Amino acid sequence: MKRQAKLNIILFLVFIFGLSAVNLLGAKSQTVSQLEQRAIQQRPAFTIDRFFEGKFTREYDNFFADNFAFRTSLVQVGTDMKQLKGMPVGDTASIVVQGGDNMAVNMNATGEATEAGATAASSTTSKYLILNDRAFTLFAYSPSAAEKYAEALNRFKSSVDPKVRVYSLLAPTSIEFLDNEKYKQMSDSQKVAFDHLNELLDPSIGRVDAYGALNEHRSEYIYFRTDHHWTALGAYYAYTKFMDTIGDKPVPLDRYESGEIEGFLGTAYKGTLNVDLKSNPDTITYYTPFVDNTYTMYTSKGKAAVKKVVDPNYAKRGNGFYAVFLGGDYPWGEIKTSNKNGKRIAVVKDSYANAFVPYLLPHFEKVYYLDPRHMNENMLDFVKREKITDVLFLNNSTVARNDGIAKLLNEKMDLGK
Amino acid sequence: MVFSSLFFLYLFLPVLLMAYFVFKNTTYRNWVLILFSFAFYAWGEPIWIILLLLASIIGYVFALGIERYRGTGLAKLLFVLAVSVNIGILAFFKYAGFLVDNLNAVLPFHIPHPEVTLPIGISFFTFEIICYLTDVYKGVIEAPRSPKKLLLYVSFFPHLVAGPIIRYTDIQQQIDNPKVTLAGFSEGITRFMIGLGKKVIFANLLGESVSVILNPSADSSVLGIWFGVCLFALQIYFDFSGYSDMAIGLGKMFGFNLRENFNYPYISKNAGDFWRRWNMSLGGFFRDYVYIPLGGNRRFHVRNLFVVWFLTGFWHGASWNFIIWGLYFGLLIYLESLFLRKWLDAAPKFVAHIYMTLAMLVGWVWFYFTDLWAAVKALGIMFGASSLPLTTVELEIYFKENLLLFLIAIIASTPLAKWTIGRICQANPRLQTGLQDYAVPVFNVALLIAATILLVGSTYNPFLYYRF
Repeated sequence: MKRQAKLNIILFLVFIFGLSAVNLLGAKSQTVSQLEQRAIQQRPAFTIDRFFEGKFTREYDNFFADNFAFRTSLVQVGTDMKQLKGMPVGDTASIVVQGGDNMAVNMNATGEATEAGATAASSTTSKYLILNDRAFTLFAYSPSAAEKYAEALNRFKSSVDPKVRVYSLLAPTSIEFLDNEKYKQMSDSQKVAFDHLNELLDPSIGRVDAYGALNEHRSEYIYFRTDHHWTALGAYYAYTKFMDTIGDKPVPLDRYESGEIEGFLGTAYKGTLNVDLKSNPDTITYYTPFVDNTYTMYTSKGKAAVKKVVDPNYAKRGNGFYAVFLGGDYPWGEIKTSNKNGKRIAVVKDSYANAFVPYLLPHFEKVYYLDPRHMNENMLDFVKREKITDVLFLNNSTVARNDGIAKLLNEKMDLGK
Repeated sequence: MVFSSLFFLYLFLPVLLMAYFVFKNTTYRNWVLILFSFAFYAWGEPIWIILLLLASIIGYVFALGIERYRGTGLAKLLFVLAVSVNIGILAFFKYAGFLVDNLNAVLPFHIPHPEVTLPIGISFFTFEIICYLTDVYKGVIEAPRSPKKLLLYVSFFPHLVAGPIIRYTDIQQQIDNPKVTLAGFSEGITRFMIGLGKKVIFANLLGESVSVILNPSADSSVLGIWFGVCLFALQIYFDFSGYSDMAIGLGKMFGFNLRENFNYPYISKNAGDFWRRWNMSLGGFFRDYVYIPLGGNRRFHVRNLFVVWFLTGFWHGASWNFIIWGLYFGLLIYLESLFLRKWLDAAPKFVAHIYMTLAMLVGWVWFYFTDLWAAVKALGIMFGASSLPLTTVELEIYFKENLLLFLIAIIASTPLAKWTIGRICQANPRLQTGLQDYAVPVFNVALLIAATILLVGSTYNPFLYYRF
């Protein structure tokens, strides 16, 4: 009995004190988590006020958790460990709902049931289906979201000068073209959603049938496996349909010089840390614009920076390789080309448009993009000021899933009023 | 602060151990415990530390008064006053919102909804102070002169925020004379590790799946709801009993024997049995301090059952679904006392187990869904009164993904492992020492490592900004 007691106590104390010491003495120099794309909680300042408000203790808990020894490797090990709770039978399919909790604390019902019925699948979580080595985000159709989006576009059309041409491009996500019926039916039909949405659009808004183009080429590498975006190839096929809609001729893809970046692990990997995704990274194929251009992007503080439209160097900075296209998501940007045809297009977009915009350079004098999440100028004023001739709304099927974008669009049309 | 957090394990606990064992004197050691217990509480509730202090002072002062005027009407007055104040505190912080909302539903005018946050642990420490006052009034214990004894009893951090509900008599000796031994400390560690494993490995992982599967907006199916409820039953058992294990383990480390709270409730044969195995300290409190004083099953049996089960449900949460849950069990117990027990005892054992498992699962539906309509809907789906399919592709995936954990959890919720190991050791005494001396310590460290990894893993919080 004595021996058991001694060994038990020694092991316990060594481990607890050992890890505490390592933790205490470890450098707290990290400020950003590349993997999670967020700032690491720094040591919070102590004031009596902040303590009584509960802010200090909450932030300290986060600080302690975020800076824990070996955190990055333990996070991966933890995810791998969780795979052990299942039995691998048949298809390797799994569903991951990602909604992280910084404090490593689950204040669960311990007899004082407070949030026993609360749901985790709120709007801040994403549901991924991982089938073998591919990840998909599931689509759940919300007719009211689609209606609000159509309304927003219609409102825009009626508010701008009637000479401005307005187009809508809806980009489906990869689950739509999954050939495995069994798993595809877990997701609602985006075709139905898009058809319904298009019916609600004002007839003077041009509809781009990107869906048709992607469907035709569904067996090609048009979507990433570890990321929720389409590839540059997928964006190209959508671009050809856009050219059809505006009555212009698409530039053949082989006109572009291309390059490849290997080892791309995108958003789906970051959201799940799934080991099958990790061992099958994506390859980004990019097509370098050949038209002379100057690309200036503007930050939310109004600072301007000149960048390259397609810049493979972004892949080296660990920001997320998709930033190769347009350098990432900024409030707005302007690309001046050497074309002098008087046509100026503004793309109101989500990040799907990043891979799409480069293809517009041969056709327009100026290509602008606006990100409704970040821009702080009134959209309608912008169109007037820059004398935009064409406006393209390019969004993926999320607009038919929740009304966040529709709300933002309306906000940006109301700004300053 | 919770025990199953990195901060507790790797900062609070080592500092506490150092501060405690630096002193040899019992008085100093007890003060260390008091101070650290208050710090523990303040970390979670910086303002309501005042409440804890206030409730303790009221308990202390009034108990001395009751002691002083024992036998007179003044003692009774003081007792009633003190208990009312405690209940008042609990009623205000926990139930004010509920009361106002229900009044607003019937009154012609509108009372504004009070924005009161619930200080953690209030349901536990107010009950313990009431226990203490009652025991002093009844003459079971003498009110201690020293305030630190009451402070330690009320604030002792192992049981402070989540029980077990202990009585002053449980730890009276130990406050005066704590026996910290190597054996006791080691047993405490083992018990704590088991609790930690239950909470972090079972409860937390099961809980992740429960919230996804029982989400009202998910593609539900009949078996899906059943599976979700089963997972929830396991989650809540491992969560609550795991936390109690950790409390008992921590108490033991410091020489205190806290009373047991769980005894494998899922092998119960009837509802009465269930409540002698689930949250035993609460059941015991209601039995000894409410049911029996009201007359038990001798006078006004039905009324007493109603009161006790209403309160049991209501204690768990300020919402009608909890009240219904409590009364549901009250009803079962009443029916059992009338005729159901006789039937169950006469039938083969497995019938009783099936009855109890179903009864328990249905009970958990009421417990889980705060929205009554959602609870009714879920029950409807479970018993075939809906047009939902039997199963979906999504459910298949969830089932496969959780199958191993599910099966192991079911086995771990029964004493099967304990019996098996017990039998093996009986047959082979040398193996028993081997297991005890080496396997248990190694197993404990393995649990600690696994729990730590999972806790770090759950801090992963990627910025999901791109969802647009």
